Amino acid sequence: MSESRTPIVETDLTRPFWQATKQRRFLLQYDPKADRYQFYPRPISLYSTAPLVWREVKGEGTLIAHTLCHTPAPGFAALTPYILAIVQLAEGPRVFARVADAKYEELKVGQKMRIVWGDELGDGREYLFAPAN
Amino acid sequence: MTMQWLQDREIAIVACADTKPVKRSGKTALELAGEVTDTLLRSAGIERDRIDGLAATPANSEAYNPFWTSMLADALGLSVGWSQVTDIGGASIIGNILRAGAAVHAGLCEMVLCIAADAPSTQFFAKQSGFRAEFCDPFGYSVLPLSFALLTSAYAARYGSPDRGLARLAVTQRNGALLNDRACDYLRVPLTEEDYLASRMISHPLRLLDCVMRCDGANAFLVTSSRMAREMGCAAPVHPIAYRECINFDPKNAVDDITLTGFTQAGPAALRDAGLAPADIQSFHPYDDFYIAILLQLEQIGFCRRGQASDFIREHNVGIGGDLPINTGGGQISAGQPGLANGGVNLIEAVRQLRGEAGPRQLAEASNAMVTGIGVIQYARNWGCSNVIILERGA
Repeated sequence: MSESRTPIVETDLTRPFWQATKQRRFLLQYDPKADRYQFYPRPISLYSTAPLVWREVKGEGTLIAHTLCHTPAPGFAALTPYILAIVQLAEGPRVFARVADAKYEELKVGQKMRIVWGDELGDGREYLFAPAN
Repeated sequence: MTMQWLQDREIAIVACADTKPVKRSGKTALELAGEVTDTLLRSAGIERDRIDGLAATPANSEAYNPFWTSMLADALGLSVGWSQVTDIGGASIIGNILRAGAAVHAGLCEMVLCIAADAPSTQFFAKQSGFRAEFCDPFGYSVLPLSFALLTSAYAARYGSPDRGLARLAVTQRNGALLNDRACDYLRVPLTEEDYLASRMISHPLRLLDCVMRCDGANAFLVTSSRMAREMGCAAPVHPIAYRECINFDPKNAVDDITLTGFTQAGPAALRDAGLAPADIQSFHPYDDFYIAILLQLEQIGFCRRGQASDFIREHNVGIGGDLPINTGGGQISAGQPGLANGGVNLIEAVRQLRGEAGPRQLAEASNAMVTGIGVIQYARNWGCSNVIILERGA
């Protein structure tokens, strides 16, 4: 038996984000005063003292870095090797996630990516990146 | 910000000690702390009751203990007027030299034991919480090498593959370890650039031989005032003459390049404080959990231009006898990384060089040295903590 995936443990702070993932919607925290987005969710705005609101975003962005991981995390053994990436969203924040529908050798830093949703890990709450085209 | 008391040579490291790193020693961090303290006290020739300050790093192998310096003090028979735990990862030990110096300068204590002991290859209890548990681990984050693979990916996209420079570094540091009987025996086998390039991918493009090997061990340093060092008759004091640290670089995502780190600030600032240019540094002891980190440091501290580190390493001799010797004792990658006693491995090598105690690795010119530290990986960017200390051999 392989180990199971590290469970996502929601907090009061992050619950709106995880609730939205059930409808395959990706939310960022938004500071309306500074007009800046942030991710991962923080307890306060990084940019001003304004209260944060949640905003849904399309999940389009640019590939910043990628790696082909041969050393799986718990629950990922059957997917190994798998691609992990950092993508900078159009709204600014960077997001770390796995890449779907791509060959490692064909990915290029700078290419356009978009967030997709995966079911391979069971509960459907996995956001991944895929090439935009 | 000014730390004139460093430039005034007010503080001295008067003794150092380490245990030989061992994989799965079966010992506890407290046992290792006892061994290293015993060696330190004997070599310094001082009574333990003279120690009135204690600066420690946490231990992965004892991470559940929230009373770490009290536990250490009791195990070692110390009673002190000041203690602290520094939790900036591989930056903690040179951070503690500075904090100990500041405590002495402020009059809180006179003689500080800076100690790090950890046995993470015997037992491991540390656990990262927050974004790491919620937004990394459930999404496939497995091992630290993948973060450095991502940095290498971003670096290579900008400047081209740094493989050839990394290969040269791997061989250079291994050659240092072959001359260092304090390096972990498991790693003391000859290595070629071809061996490095052929080693298996852990997380592409990062290879096995890019990575540190975790083991058990301890190191300790005695920090006091230069006045006290003279009174003790210390023959080879080592002065920290400049220090800068940056904790949590770029939290607001203002820097549009994840390969940039706090070394872009701390490196030039420490050199400026010391009144030195990069070319004046006689040996460089950069924190090396992965070789790519050394390339980034060479560029960001100012030894070469951005994107040029791989060429710099190949065009200069960075070995013993070269124009910029790097990690002459093997660094952590070829000597072993004793958990959170990590940052002391390269520091003790620098101190030994300055004290003229480096044996077959002894550099002909060793009146100054630069040592660095790195701590933590932040979410979807680079390491958070960067620090730089410049040391000088005392009169």
